Amino acid sequence: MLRFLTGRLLRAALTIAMVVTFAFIVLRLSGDPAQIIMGADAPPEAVEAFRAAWGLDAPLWQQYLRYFGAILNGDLGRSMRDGRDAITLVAERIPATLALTIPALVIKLSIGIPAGILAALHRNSLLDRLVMALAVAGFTVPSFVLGLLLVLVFAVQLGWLPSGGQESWRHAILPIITMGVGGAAVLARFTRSAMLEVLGQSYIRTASAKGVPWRDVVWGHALPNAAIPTVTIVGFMVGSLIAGAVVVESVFSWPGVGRLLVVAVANRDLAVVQCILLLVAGTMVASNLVVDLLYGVLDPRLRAGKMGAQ
Amino acid sequence: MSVLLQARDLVRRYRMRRGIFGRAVELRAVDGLSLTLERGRTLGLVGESGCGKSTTGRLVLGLEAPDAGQVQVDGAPMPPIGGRAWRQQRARMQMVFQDPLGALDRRLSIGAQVEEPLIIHGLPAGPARVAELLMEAGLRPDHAQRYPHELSGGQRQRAVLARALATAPELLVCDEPISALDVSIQAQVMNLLMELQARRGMAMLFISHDLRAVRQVSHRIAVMYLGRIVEEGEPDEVLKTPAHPYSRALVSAIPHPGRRGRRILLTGDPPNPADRPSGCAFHPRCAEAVARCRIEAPVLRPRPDGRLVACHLAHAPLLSQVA
Amino acid sequence: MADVSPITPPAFTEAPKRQRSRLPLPIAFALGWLGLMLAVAVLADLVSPYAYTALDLRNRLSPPIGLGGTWLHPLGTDELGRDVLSRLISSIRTSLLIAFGATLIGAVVGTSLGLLAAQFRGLVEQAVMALVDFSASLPFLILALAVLAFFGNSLVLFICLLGLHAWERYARIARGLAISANAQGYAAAVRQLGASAWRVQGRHVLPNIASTLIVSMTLAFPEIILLESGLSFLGLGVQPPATSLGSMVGYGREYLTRAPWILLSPAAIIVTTTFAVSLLGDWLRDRLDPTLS
Repeated sequence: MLRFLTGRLLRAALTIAMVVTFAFIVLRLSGDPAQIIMGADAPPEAVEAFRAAWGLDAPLWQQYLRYFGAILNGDLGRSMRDGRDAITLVAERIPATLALTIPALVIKLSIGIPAGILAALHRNSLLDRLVMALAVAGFTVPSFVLGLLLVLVFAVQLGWLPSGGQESWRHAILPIITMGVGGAAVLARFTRSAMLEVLGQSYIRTASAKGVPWRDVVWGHALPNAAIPTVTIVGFMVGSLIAGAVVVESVFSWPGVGRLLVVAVANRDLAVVQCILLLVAGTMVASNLVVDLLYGVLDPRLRAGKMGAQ
Repeated sequence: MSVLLQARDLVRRYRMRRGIFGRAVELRAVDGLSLTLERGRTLGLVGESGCGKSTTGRLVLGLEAPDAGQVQVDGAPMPPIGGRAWRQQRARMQMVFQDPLGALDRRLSIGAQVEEPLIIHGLPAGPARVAELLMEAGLRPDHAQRYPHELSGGQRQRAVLARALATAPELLVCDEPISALDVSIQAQVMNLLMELQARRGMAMLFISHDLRAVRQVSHRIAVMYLGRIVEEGEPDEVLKTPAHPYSRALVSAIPHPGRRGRRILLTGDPPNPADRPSGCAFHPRCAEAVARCRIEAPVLRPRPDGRLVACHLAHAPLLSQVA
Repeated sequence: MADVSPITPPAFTEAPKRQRSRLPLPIAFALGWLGLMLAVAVLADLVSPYAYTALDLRNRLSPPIGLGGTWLHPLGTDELGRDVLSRLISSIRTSLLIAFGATLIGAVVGTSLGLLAAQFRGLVEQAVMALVDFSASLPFLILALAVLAFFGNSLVLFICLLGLHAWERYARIARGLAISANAQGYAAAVRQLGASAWRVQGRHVLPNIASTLIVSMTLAFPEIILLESGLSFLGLGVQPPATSLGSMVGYGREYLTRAPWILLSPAAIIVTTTFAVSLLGDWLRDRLDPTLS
């Protein structure tokens, strides 16, 4: 078990290192940062001073090492807009994003998974078709369209809910619904096909033929086996929480990490972008690690080791 | 009969990880195997699943490189795999597979696939030549326009044969060629193979777990167990008086109407090449094993009557009374 | 049916005719819609009533036909008096162009890398799988945003960037199918006939995996549309004066209360087109390759 953990941790660290390297490469490839930041018409002395201040005049590998070292030290640079530490800026916004994404995740899981399971159990029934239709709608309607439609209906026409900002808990309702619905649709669709695949296996037929009550077959055999691929996709969803928040926070002017990212990209505020990049990578890696561990627990085939594999 | 191919002390290892949590184990699919293939003669290779017969077939053809040992064709070593010389040598040696549907490209017509080796090796091609090959394998010329999924299992195997014979190979390795076929078709394909060998003078390596089929088609039989040959000799002799305990068990398992002898049931777990027993690989399941069998692996040696056996007891039957 | 027959002329030589299956209605609609979109995209200049940048300052924010507008501007105008219909047509062209370009780039890059990994195994395969892992380690949106931040924005860069969105899917599929073909199947058989690697891959493997790849492409296409419109909505995708469906929604957002039609028509097009392609993709998958999930 220990060997497995260390292996996974190493891989996680490697992935983060790759992301850092990627950020560095892209940063350097994109041209002279000093020139970009100072602007095309800045006087050459100012550009030089900037370059020296940021250590951009050293050889490339030195810059890389310094860069890596700085990140390990927790120094992710300053926002070029307001001069504060990038980390502080991002950290400030995390609670706001969590306030949206966690309830949204709850919605996705509590609606999506049961819907998918029910649809699979009553295949081709009205319920199934309804769930699938809604699921497709949830998938094909992008979150910004859904968000805007909700605003149009509930805020503009009906005036029940506010349309933007973060003043009260009421402001969070529409964004949470927008985020939750899309994810629930994807999850419903996925859970349904995972269940269908499991239900089609011969061991299900065997259990049923042996006289095991259907309820027990589902709870004892089908669900646990369908849980395995479902866990993977839930892990992916958790890992990409911030990505999902990007568009929704912009639609509703919600001051979270996602909105910060968009603004930073528009202003080419590289330190902030970088910081958020690492945050997202960290979240993804952590959630993948948890999924892998869960896999080891859920799938006895992995626990015992596959013998005779070619 | 002249020797076409000689394989000496072949070893083929695979590295496996025992589950995610375990350490790496080495799996010896083939462990010190030697055989000789003569022109115009068939060597039958028998054994249960997992004993390494298919791997042997691939090593003999040069489709895989052995980790130790050597394969020589006409006295010359096998050229490096994938290289130009190796590709050209393919025209001389071909394989017939267990799953004819898998061995054929489902998108191309039979005719196109039978013609392909001719094109690859620059031999005269064309519909007439293809029709010739198809007929030799027992198909009709109009089968050339059909697709693999439109043919029956037996017909597909004939198509694979036609393709294999296109370049007039001197060696044909058949890896379980009839296992996937209906019993009624099996006999026909066997007859075809024997006919083709007689007509073309090919050497053949016939790999199967079916003793009776092997007996019908081979001039010589070799019995394999866990990557080694444990017995080798004339088919009728081996089947009538098997010398190795494993061969005896195999032979006794052949259903025979009116047989009165007892079936030998092997005890113990089926062989696992990743967890090879010490000494003789068969000793955990052998009813006649003695202390020596656990310590020392027997070598394949000839008996006075010409039979090759790898068993301590076969060569020194008196030992069983002493140990 | 005798297997070993004497040489007699066959009774008949054709294989039985295949049933012509009718297209289900939703699929027919989907195809029709997509055909319409393609036609609009190709004929944009001919079909568009006005240039998409043409201003009509006297008719600013005029509503579309059902809500009090005139036939002068059937879908209304925006805050600068630009005809929404014309802008919509131009947007359709831009969005579809980007989506096709990106899908093709992703498929070509992904398939090539996958085939290379399957052919050469060893170090090449490890390198490709490491890249695949890396791609999967970050949500694509974030990667795209990072690249856009660092590189700024140009149409070519944007298309290439979007092209990389699903490359690892094609790589995985190509590698998986090629490996199984190589190991047990027809590719191994042809290789042992003496065929060169090029012949094996080009004449056998690629045509056989093509249908799976095409299904994958059809399934990835709507994702690219959504991605592009999302990024353009945020103002980070297609830049003015060019216009795309997403950027129209983005610009129309400020007039949500006063002139919702500005963003509703591009939004409707996005949803319908995505839906149509998804439907088509699912149907194709069910017909060609039920093994894909």
